[in-house]
Amino acid sequence: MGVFEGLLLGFETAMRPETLLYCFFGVFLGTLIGVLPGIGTLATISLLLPVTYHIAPIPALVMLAGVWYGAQYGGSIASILLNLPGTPSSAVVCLDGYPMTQQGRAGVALFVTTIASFIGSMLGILALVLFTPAIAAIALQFGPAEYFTMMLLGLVAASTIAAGTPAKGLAMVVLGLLLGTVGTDVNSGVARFHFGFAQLRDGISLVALAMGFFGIAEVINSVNRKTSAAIREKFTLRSMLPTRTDLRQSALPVLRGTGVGSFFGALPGTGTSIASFMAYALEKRVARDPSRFGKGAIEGIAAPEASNNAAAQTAFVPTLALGIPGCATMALMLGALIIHGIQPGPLFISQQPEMFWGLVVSFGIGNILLVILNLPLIGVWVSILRTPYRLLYPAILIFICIGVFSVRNNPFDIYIVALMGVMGYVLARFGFSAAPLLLGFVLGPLMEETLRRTLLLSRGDPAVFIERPISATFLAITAVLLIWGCYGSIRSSQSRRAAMQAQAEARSAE
Amino acid sequence: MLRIFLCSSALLVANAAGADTLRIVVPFSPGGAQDTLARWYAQHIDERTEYSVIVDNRPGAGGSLAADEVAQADPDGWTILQASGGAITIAPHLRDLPYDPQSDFAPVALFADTPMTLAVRADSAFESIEDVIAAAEADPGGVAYASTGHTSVSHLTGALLAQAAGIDLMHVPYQGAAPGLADLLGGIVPLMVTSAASIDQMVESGDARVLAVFSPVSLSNLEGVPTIEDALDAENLNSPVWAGYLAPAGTPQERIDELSQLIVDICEMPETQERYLSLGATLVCGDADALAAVMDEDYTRWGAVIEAAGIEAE
Repeated sequence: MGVFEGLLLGFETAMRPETLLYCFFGVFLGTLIGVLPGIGTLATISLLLPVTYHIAPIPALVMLAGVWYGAQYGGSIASILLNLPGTPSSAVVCLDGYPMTQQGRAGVALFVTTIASFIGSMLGILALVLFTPAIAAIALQFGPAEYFTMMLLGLVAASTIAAGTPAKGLAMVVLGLLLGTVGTDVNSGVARFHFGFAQLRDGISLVALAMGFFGIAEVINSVNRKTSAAIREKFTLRSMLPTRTDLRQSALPVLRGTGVGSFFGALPGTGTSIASFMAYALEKRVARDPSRFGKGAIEGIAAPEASNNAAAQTAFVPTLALGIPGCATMALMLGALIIHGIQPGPLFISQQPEMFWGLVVSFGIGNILLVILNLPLIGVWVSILRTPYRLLYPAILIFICIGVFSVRNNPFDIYIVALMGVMGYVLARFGFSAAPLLLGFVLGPLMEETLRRTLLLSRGDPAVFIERPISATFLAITAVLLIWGCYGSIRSSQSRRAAMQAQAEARSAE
Repeated sequence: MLRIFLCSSALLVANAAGADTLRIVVPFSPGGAQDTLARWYAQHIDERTEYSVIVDNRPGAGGSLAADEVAQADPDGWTILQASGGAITIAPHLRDLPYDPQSDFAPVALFADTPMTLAVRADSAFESIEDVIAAAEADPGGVAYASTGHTSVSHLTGALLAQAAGIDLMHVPYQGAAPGLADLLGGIVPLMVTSAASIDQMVESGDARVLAVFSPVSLSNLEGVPTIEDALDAENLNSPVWAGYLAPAGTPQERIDELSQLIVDICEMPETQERYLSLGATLVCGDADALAAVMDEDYTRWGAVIEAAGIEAE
């Protein structure tokens, strides 16, 4: 099926009233939780997972994806107005967005980020359409050896490139791998770590784990957070219109940001936050006058927003073409597909053309809806920023319990959610982020399965990993990443030491 | 009344709708072929009788959570289990179960068979089952077959084939049919034992071929494919992948007869035939006795295969 027929089929699917409705609901909810600091896409998508059992697979995925890219739009609103990132990936927008608000240019900032987001998304979708079938075609030759080494690369990338301390990230990946071993082993049929509970024979439910770590933990964590924000400004469309200089200054950064974002989004293990930071860093480097950054430079909001939205779209490339989630949210998407008995992978596009093209076109429609939601209706979101959390959080807790019970009609899963929630809260207090854990939890069992299948088929000969060229390449990149990661952490600790020394010298000189 | 409050929450749901509610416990998540079949029967029982019907999805632990739920339910004729081989005729040979499949259930009716096939990809060198046997004899344990899971009917059917032909095949388990099929088409594994329903689409698109079906008659959707007994010129190789309804043991006989009649009547409707075709199931309708016979035969066959192959699960 060519791109044109594909898009035609996609339009047919995405324009069905049911799909449109769920698309709207998804992007609406996405913007909402993007606007509200403290409630992330992961928590929201885990909350929605049980709902997807009861609707058809295409609208379900359209909705979940809508939440995901919708949040990228909403996230910048809180960043710009309150200097409080609504989502981690919009943290970098605070740097220049909040100064613009202080200069009375909040409206312009909101307008530019929305348009940058839109352009980034649309070009990201284009990349998705072009690259997914190409990568899937290559992946048809992938055997278990290639899948194993690729997932290894993804996990190493996630723990070495991602933000935060690499050691803590790695620890959480390993904890996720351990939790993933609970349940019946595919190769031997032995049920592991079930402690006599028949319910654990199928492993810990992804829904329960995600809801515990991202839903419950976040609610407990937010109890002490400040309750609501005071914003007095009113936004008219007129106040949002950028000047000609603004537009000229943001055109190239948007394109560069899109490029950076498309690349990092498609790379397994990175994601939208890294994409937006990289785009910001690039702009600062190419700028004629880098000192303008941090003081309300329009490039500083345009490039990162284009970048994280492009990344949000291209993150679907490895998920759909290979069945390998690049980040924690994509792991949940993969879970949602598997719930419906759909296995993403090289055969996905040819076997589920309606789903693939329907999703792609719905992304386009969703982004148009988002522009409408974000520009004329900005006032609504600003007023939502004033919602007291004491009403919001108890409601979320109830939804979590109902949701997880409804999946298997099994009260056991509620206890698992509670347990995971407490664990997630405690770990978060000690600075361990849960996203690598989820990635390990989802990829771990797949890695074990493919590793053992490779060795079974090679009759126990591990040389097969180096003999197959694609698998050898993945292993080589993994090795480079590991070396680079180690070198980087040594260098940064050295430079920190040097900086401290310089400071101490400067002080003594005074 | 008090009893209702003491019951589990799902029973509460069942009883909340009134005393006359038939509960069909399904060991699969909503959305799959088995669930679709359950909902088909639920809808038609609902139309034909005074009482209402609910489908209670209890996936988990290879169907044993659902089986245990029904084994422990009141034998009043208002709870039935949609059963298949895994938890009833295979699991007891492998591990301790909280229920006894032989004595805790009363067969009600047989309603489907989704037979297994031996499949290869379209450009495979294997043209017939003899080619497979010759290759396996030349390289014992070197010819691999993909199955849909360890100790699944697919795994055991492969073992049955190996035992009958006197060959040694390498077993490569997957989690369900889809990933195994991807590797079959990708050339990672040369053979796969999978249901006719799952391979049907690939045969139609010309990506795969079926060497034999493990069913007594050739299937309408796979014309020209020999049955395994014809291909090997042997007997007792048919392995029906049955689906039927079971009630808790002790359910009054009149009630079982009534339900059995209802289910067989629905099973024999032409619309049901059409519905089955779209799900890849084969229409087999049978009363309680027919189901009991199939289950007995199944239990004995898989017990022998598991013992001969030395398959363990714990």
